[in-house]
Formats: sequence, structure tokens, C-alpha cells
Amino acid sequence: MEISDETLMAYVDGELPSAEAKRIAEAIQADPALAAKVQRFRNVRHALKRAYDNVLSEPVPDRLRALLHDVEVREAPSPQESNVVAFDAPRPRRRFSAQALGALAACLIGGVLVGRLSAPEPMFVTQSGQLRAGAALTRVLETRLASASENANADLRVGVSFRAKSGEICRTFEGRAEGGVSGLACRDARAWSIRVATATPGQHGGYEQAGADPVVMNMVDALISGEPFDASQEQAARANHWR
Amino acid sequence: MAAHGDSVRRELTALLPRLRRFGRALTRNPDEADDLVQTALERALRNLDGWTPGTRLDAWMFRIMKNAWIDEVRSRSVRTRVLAPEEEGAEVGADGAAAMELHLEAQRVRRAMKELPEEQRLAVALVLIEGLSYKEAADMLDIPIGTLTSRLARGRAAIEAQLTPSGGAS
Repeated sequence: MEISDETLMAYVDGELPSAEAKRIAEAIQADPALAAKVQRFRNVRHALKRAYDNVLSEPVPDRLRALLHDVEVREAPSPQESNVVAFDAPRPRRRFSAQALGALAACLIGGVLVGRLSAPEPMFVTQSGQLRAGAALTRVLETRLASASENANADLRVGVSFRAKSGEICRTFEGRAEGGVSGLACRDARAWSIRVATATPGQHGGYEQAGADPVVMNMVDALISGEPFDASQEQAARANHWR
Repeated sequence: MAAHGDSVRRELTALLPRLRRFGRALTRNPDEADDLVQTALERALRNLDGWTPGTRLDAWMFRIMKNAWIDEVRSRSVRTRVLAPEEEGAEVGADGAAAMELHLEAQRVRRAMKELPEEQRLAVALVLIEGLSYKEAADMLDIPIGTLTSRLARGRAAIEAQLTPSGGAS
């Protein structure tokens, strides 16, 4: 079977419907020449990101910031604002600190509260002493791709996906419920178990563009093996039921 | 209305780093990129009602930047194509050979981007750097998806040729 370069590029860009992506993934496994080609297309993507992503961590010139501030409201730049990173960009490694551990403990309590408060469908449920994703969140984690257009402004949306050192696949998520919640869930044999959840205030009914909660990102850094999935890896993971 | 404007300003502030990245991908040097962001922000602020809340603010801004850039390119007419030099050496030598190699690769990629025809550069910047879907990018450029993917393919090939200095694309 002949697979065109354009199809392979669409695969790398995460643009194929899942059935076709799965078919291509299988073809790639069976054909080293195809795999090499896909790797070439990926390399170009990654090289482009590397060539331009450093802009994201540079300080934004005052003349641009000034345009957006009323004269009297001159907020101090939050670290997140000056360092917004696209969801699919590799992030700078951060160390998992004791502070984050404390925050994690606090946030788990917060997470349980959120679960209890949000009727009718709780975001989180407790099963045999474990905090797990509720039905709606499970549905999103199981089916939604970060690149899907409906993800951008959904009430619940996914962020980065990656394979953890433990072998499980984990995904970050954000929800608008209860003033904003974000967290990280990993797929075990039966369900998505919540590893961290935290309230993310100040969302003003919208999402910080590509922003991510630092507590959640610390958790990502602590768990991740390698790099976050790119669009095609994410799609392949879904096709494989996140195993 | 004022409250709406405030929250949009906040969201635009959060978007600034990405707008600057998109600007770098389109233009020839960092100053020109920030000028483009500034022009686009001024246009956006004059026309905040043009954005529909609930739709993607980043895509709306990219469109304004794209239009501002095309205006700029047209007004330049047939000015000679001199590539503004990059700030060479700024980050070189931070940690040795590997960093140097990455730095050089990034420079080659940026140079290749500058050499692309405008339409291919836009397609590459929107999809491969800013992460828009094919459909979103095609809508923004007012072209069919097939046109977008073929521009994307040509742009990719040109950049890949620069990644492998021997030109070894099989």
C-alpha cells in the first residue's frame, strides 16, 4: 500500500482521523523506510520549535506591555505571563520541590472539596480510597486530543500528554468549574487516577492562553519520561486506549 | 463594555510572548517582529468589537498580524532583498559543542524561513510553529485545505534542506 508524503505529514501534524492514524502507525511499525520518513518530518517540526520557542521566555518589551495597560492599572508581570509556553512545546525542566509537595497535599484536599461541590456531575470521585476522574472528566481524558479545535474553549480541556517513568500515560487538564481547576491524571488499568488537582483562580471565565498551573507543571516534570507527546503521538496513544 | 475590554487586554497580555514568536517567524529580525506586534495590537485595540468572545483570541490576533504584515510587504514594493543580520554569537559558547550545534541549527532554520515565499512562510508559521489545525490555518488564509497542505509541504522541504547541510533529503 502506497502512503503519500502528504498523508505522512498530516499524521505527524495530528490531522488524521483516529482510525487512519492507527492504520498509519501500524504501517510505520512494519516499514523502517516509512518510519525514517516520519522521523524526518518530525525533525523539521522540532527544529522549527527550537528555532523560535526561545522568544517565549524573553522579557516582553515595555512598549508592547504598555499598549495593553490602562495608565493607572499597571500590574506587575506575573511569572506566568512572561513565560507562557505553548501546550505542545517542550518545557524547561524544573525540580520537584518540597514546596510543591506541600502544595500537592493541600491541593488534593481542595480537589476532594471540588468533587463534592460540583453537582450534578462531580469532577472527581473517590473509589476505594483513591481519587479518580468523574464521568465527564473521564470522557474528556479518554477521547479529547489537545489539538482538537473544540479543546480550545471547552469547559473541560486537556493540556499535555506524556508517558510517565512508571510506564503509565498521564494527561493534564483544566476545567472552568468552580472558578477554575487544573490537574494531572494518569491512566491505570481501570481508570484515570488524579495525581494532583489545584484551584486556578483568576481565570475570568476564560483560560490563560497556553498557561499552565505551576503546581501541575512541577508534577509533570517529576513524572515525565522523555518529552511530552506531539500531536501524532497523542493520537496514537488514544488509538491504543492510553496503554 | 469596559469590563469586557479589560479582560481582553489581560488575555492579550498573556498572549504577547506567542505574538512575538509569530512575528519572529514572519519578519526578518526581532525589531521588525516587535514593530509588527505593536501595529497589530494597535489595530486590535481600535477594533475590539471585531473579536467574538468565546472564539479563539490567538487566531484573531494572528489574522490581524498576518494582514498587517502583508500590507507592510506590499508597501515595501521592490526593495532589495537584504537579509538583516542576526545577532550572531549572542548565545554561543554557553555550554559547549552541543549548545553551539543547536544554536547553528536554529540559525539555519530561521534563515531558511526568511528565504521562503511569503505564502509558504505563513503556512509553516501558523501550523508548525503556532500549532493551528489545517482547517484553522486555511480559514485564516482564505485558501482551500489542499492549497494549505501543499504550501506546507514545500515549506517543510525547503527547511529540511537546510537542516541537512549536505542537502541529503532522500
